Amino acid sequence: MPVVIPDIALSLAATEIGLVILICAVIVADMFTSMENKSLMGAFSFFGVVVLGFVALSGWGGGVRTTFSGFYVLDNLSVFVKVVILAATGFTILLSLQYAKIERFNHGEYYVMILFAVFGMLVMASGNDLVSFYLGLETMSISSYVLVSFIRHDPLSREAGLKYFLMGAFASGLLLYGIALVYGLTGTTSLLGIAKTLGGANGAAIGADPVMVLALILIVAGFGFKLAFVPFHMWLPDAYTGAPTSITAFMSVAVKMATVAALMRVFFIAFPSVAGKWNLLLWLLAVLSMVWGNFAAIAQTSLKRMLAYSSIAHAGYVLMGVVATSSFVDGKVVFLPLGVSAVLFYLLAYMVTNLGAFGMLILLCREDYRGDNIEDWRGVGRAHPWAGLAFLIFFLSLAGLPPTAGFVGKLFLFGAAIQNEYYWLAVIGILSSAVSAYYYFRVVMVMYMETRAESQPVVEFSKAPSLLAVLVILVVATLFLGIFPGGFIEAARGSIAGFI
Amino acid sequence: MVPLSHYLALGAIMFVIGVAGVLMRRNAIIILMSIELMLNAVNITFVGFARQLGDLTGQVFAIFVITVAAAEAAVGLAILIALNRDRTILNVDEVNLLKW
Repeated sequence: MPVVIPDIALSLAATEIGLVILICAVIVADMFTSMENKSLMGAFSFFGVVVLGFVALSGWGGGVRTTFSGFYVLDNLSVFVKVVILAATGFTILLSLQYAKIERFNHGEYYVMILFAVFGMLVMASGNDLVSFYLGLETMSISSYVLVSFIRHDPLSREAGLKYFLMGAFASGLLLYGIALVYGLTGTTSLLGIAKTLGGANGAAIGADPVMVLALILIVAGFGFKLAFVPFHMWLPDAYTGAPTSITAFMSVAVKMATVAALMRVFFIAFPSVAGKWNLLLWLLAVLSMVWGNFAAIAQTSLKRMLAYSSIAHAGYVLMGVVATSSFVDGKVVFLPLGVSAVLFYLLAYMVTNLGAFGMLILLCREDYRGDNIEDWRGVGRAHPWAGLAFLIFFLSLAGLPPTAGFVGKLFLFGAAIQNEYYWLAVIGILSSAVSAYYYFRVVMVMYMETRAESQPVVEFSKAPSLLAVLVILVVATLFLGIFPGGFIEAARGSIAGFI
Repeated sequence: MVPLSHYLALGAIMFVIGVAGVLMRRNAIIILMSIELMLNAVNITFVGFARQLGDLTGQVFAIFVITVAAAEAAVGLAILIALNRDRTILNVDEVNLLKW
């Protein structure tokens, strides 16, 4: 039998290949760096990530190109997702430089594990086959388990790591069984191949098979665990509270971005003919996440944990956009691109906002003082007007009020839901968003209206230039996306070219 | 020749035992073993389907799953060891510092 070597266009995967080279370089360089100078590894990784961001950007507008026998696809959607992920990574590394020293986990491996997780995310963004999607997901997840438990001397971090690991591995098991059943029913793992079989002559019979329904439920549950939709969210508040704050910020934006991109690719490309079934499941998860995430956040005394619950609610908003993409005409699904662009823009807006909000927590962090609780922010707004203003802008954006990125993002999402006639979803989203304003502004009230107790230490912010620079950039970006969103909305619209 | 349904039934039973183990047992090591059981159930299902379809993708997928499961076990056990450095906890109910 002749062996055919497939024609592989390596240049399409330039970002991933460059990233692997960067990872190897950081690992080698780490061996020759003394313990005091490990921040150099962070700086090295940061510049590498910036270069890779431009490499990823160069793939824009080249149409839909596949390589590695169809396992890997490069289109505008994947370019958009990759650039946002790499930007989030760059910010995370800069946020970590000082913080890693304060929390005493300043090891070169920290940056290496972040880059490994990013590699998994990039593969997920381009995964055009259930095999490559699964491998990307696991590379990302396994690196995240390590990152969450990275403060080895802190029992909270180790505990968070164990919880995240057990739930994450369980979720992979569910997802995999779903994939195995889909493979058995359709005979292929290629997303396009699955769509072809389901849309073909026997497609209706396979689509109606109870095993197919079971497979879809398992895949939705797997994604639900990874993205922490209610009722699969129980690990998230613990993992986000115990993890290093920089990693909490990273996971809440980059991991979500990559997983949502993969979710859209899997469901929109592979399963359009059974859209009625999964859309209903996702609708339910979106509603539960928006409502429960926002209500549970009210009860929190820890600011980090409150932001963790709020990220569950934000995942619900994003899922609302995914659900609102499907429109049903005479039982046949039509995908309306507005929903996908709204999701992408919202994820971008959430990226700058949430990184900023967690960055503020890092700003307050000192060797002997974590500043994770809401009461730690008493009187900070009056004593430090600039820091108060920055936090206020991030909270305005999280609550979805103008003139911030979060407002435009929510407007876009609710607009998509209403245009595609998901009125109930939009109403529930808007009401739960109103609830969220309560707990965000409670923190603002604590910052400006309350005075610091005698027993509380004086506020002393970190003076690390990298941290301050990132926070300034994020504040400006949050306002810029809110006031001049035009170019980014165009980019979000352009990224669906050739996708659906 | 063993028919496909036997492989699938074995896979399904193993998967259910694994899920039940994760949900019902409280010992972290047993939970980890139950997760491995789930992954191996998936492998049996994949290989059974691959044989039936005469398609290699399922076999390749099973090998990837084995590799990933090994990496996952390594990280999981490392986290457990880190957790047990200053006190012995195997029961997940005792892992309770983080609570809302």
